[in-house]
Amino acid sequence: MDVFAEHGIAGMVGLLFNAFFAADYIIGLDGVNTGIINGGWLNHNYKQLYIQVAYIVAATAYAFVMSAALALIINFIPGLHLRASEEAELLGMDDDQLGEFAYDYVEVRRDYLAWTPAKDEPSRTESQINPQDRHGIHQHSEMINGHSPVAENGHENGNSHTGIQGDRHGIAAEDEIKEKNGLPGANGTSK
Amino acid sequence: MGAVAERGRLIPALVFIFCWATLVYCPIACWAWNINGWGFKYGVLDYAGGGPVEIGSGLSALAYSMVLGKRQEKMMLNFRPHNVSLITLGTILLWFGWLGFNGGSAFGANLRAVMACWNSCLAAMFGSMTWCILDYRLARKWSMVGWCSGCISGLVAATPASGFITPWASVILGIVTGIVANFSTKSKSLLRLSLCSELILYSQVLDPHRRQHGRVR
Repeated sequence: MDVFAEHGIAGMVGLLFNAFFAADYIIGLDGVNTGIINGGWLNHNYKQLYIQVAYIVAATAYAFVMSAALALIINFIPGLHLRASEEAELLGMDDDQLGEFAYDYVEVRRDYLAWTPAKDEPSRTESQINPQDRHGIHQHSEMINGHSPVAENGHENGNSHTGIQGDRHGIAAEDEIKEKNGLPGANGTSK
Repeated sequence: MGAVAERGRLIPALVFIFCWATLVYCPIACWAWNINGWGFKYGVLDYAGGGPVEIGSGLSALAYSMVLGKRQEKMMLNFRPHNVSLITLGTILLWFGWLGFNGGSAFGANLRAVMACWNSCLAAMFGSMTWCILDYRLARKWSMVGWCSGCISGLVAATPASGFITPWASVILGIVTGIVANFSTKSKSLLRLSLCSELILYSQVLDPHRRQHGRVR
C-alpha cells in the first residue's frame, strides 16, 4: 500500500501546507498572479485551512468511491475479470500476461523453448534443482556447500570459511557433544 | 497501477485506466482549476495536482487493490524488491520529470517556475533524508529503497505546494512528509491488502501515463 501512503498521504500533507505556508510573494513571482491569489496563514489568511481540508476530504472521498465503483463494475463484466487465475499467479504475471521474462536468471529455472506455461508448479520444479547447480560460477557453488574457494588455491590462513549455510559456533559446539558421546563430528574433526 | 502487481490482468486494467481518467481524474482536476469549478471559486490552493493527481492516484490504487484482493501469502515467502538499481533509476527519472511537472505548472519560464523547481528539490531531499533516518532507527542500515520512497513522497507533497510556499517551508514540508508517509506505510500491514514495490511498478507504469494526463505534457 505504498502508493496510498506515499501519494495519498503525501498529497494531503502538501495541500495542508498550502494553508499554512502559502505566501503571496511566491505566488506573484510569475508576474501574473500578483496580488490576486491570497496566501495562507503566512498572510494571515486563516480561513484557508478549512478550505484546504474541505478540498482534501472531497477529493479523497470522490476518488475512492468512484474508483471502487469503476473497478467493481469492470470486474463484473464478463471477460474483464480484474484478477488473474491462481495458476497464473504462481507462474508470474510475466509468463501469464506477456510471455516474456525480464528476470529469467533469478531464482526460477524456466523452459526456455516452451512459450506456453509449464504445467508443474514452480515449487516442484525448483526442488528438482540442486542448490549448488543454480550458480554459474563454480566457486559460489563451492561456498554453498561449505568449502572455501581460497583453501583450494592453497592459501589457507586459519580463518577458514565454514559455508554460508552453517553457524560455525553451533557446529563446533555440536561436534564437541558428539565427541563426548564417542561419535564422529560433522566436520570430521574427531580423531 | 502498481496495485495490479503480481496478480492483476492487463486488459481490464487498461479499461479501468481509460474510465478512471475520464470519470475520476478529470472531474477532480476541474474542481480546482476550472474557473467554474467549486474548488476554484472556493479559493482552494492546489498548484500542480495534489487533489487530482496525488490523492486521486493514491486512493484509486487503494480502491483497486481492495477489489483485486491481496496477494497470496504463500507466494510471498521470498518477497523483496527485486532490483534496487531499477528502483533508483526510476526514482531519479521521476525526480527529473517532476521538475518539468512542477516547474511547468507555472505556465511560463518565470521566477515562479524556478521557485517551484527549487521547492520540489528541497522537499525531495529532506523527505529522503528523513525517511532514511527513520528506516535506520529500525534496521540500522542506510536503505536505498528508503531513500527512493522518501524522495518520491517529498516530491508528491511538493506537487500541490511548490508554487505557493516559501523555500524554508519546503524544508519543513519534506521532513513532515517523510515522517508522516513513513509511518503510514505501516498502515498497510493493518489493512492486510498488499505489499510494497507497488510503488516501483507504479512509478514505472502509471507515471508516464499520468504525465500525459497532467497539465504539463
